[in-house]
Amino acid sequence: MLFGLPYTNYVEYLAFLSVAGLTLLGGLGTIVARRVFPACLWLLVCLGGVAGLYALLAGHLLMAVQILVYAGAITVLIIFAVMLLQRHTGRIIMAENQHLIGGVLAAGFMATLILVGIFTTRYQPLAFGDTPATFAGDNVKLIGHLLLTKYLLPFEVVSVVLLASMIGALVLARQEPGENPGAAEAPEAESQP
Amino acid sequence: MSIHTIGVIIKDWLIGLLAGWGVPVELSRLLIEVLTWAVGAALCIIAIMLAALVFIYLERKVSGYIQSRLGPTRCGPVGILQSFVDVIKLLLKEDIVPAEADRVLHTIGPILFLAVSALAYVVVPWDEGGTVAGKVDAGVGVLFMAAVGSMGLIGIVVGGWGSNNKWSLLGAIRGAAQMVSYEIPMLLALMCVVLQAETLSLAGIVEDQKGSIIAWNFLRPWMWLPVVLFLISGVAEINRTPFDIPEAESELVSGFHTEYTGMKFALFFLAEYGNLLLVALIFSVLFLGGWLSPFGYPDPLRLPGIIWLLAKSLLIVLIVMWVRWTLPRLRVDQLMGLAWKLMIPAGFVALGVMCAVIMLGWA
Repeated sequence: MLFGLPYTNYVEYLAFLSVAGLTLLGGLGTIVARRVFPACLWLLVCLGGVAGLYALLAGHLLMAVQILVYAGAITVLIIFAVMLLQRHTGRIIMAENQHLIGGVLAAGFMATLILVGIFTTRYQPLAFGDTPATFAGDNVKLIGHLLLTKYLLPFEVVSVVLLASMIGALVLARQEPGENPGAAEAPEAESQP
Repeated sequence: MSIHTIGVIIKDWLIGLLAGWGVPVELSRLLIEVLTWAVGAALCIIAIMLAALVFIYLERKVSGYIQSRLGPTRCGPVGILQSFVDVIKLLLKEDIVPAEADRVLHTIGPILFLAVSALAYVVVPWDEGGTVAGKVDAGVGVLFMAAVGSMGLIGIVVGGWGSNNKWSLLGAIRGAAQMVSYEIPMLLALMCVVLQAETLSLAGIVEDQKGSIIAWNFLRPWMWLPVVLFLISGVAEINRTPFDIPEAESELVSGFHTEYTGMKFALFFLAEYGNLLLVALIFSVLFLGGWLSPFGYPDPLRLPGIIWLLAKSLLIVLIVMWVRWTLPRLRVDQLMGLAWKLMIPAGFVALGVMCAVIMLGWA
């Protein structure tokens, strides 16, 4: 016992503080970094921190999916876009923001939403450092079962969203027959100082 | 005696020792828990280093044998000290960062590559007791391994980008495209094994194959296609010949690590050999019964499971080396064509066959 709490609680507390700090640091780095490529890497730190938070909450499946989808796929996608664009236009893309008011409004809205969510949820009272018996160990089967029975419709709707974005990307990237590839970007690249 | 039992004995001994010094049992349990994590993390890195030491020598000898040469003979008996000499040479080299390179990105590229490689070792079930932390992989080992594996290319991209060199960037882009493409057939092959074992845990997949060699996945006919797919995409994921276009020496001047010397170059190579061992380990776990003995469970020879696992992995590593020194490098378009036109459709066929097998109740 130390300060009236069992020792195990301090480990969890320290782990939480470090992971949460990493997440905040990553988020801050993402918006503070001037060049886009380092900003992507800061985003990676932030998303990895969130995965750590999931792991602390015993959501191991969620942690693995977070790494797979966000850290693995989304960040790589952004890095791809930056790499191809930057070498194509020949200039370093800076993170500029001309939408200060809109950004503040959006961030404020999201923060309010999250705060309302946090303070209106009725939590099951648990001892600090405890995990509910139902979540301990292998909960993958449970989640999979729920996804394919009770939550099948939302699951399928989400996949339709993905399909729509895929088709949208194809439409954007498609070239009309006879169109000169890269013609759209060329004048823009020359006009840069 | 399994590795896990040895760990428990050491833990109990340490608790007794600390209790003798007047440390409360609860605190000493906690300290030992933290120590276990630290040792586990260190073991992941040590595994990579040992793999690199052994595989560098093995690669030279195997390539020598295949090309009718002797390979290293001068350093120590039959050249066995060659790897150590290589390490010392790399450590003594000057660390050069190109003037136009991004100094920070140039440095964190190889570190990131190695860190990601080490992270995947966390879920490898070495023995019956489980992974390096002495615990099971929380039921998501396969997913975690795939997730971390997909992050490996970030290290390559950061290194290639940070070098600010056309060859490096081309190599990085090629590497990223290749790793993204070959991840799909690899995951499809993984899915078949997951469906067979009905678990996402790597330890659980080994449990599912419990028994002698007849019970292992590679002898089930519907697993033959996933075995081939996993081996090919595994070799492609770790950028080895015939899939080494990201570092093609003859066309890209070593690709993403053109601008690296000394220790940073060594970090890239450590990670590459670490990844080689990792793919071999995962292959052994998925299809060759992991730590299980071929003569049945429990092992009649009473050998620790880790020895069987390493023996199987060594076999896979030798096959991968044999392929490397036999086949020429693929062209970029051939490489992409192989992934998208042949292996991904084959992966879906394998998944369909697996589902049919489950529906028919043969699994």
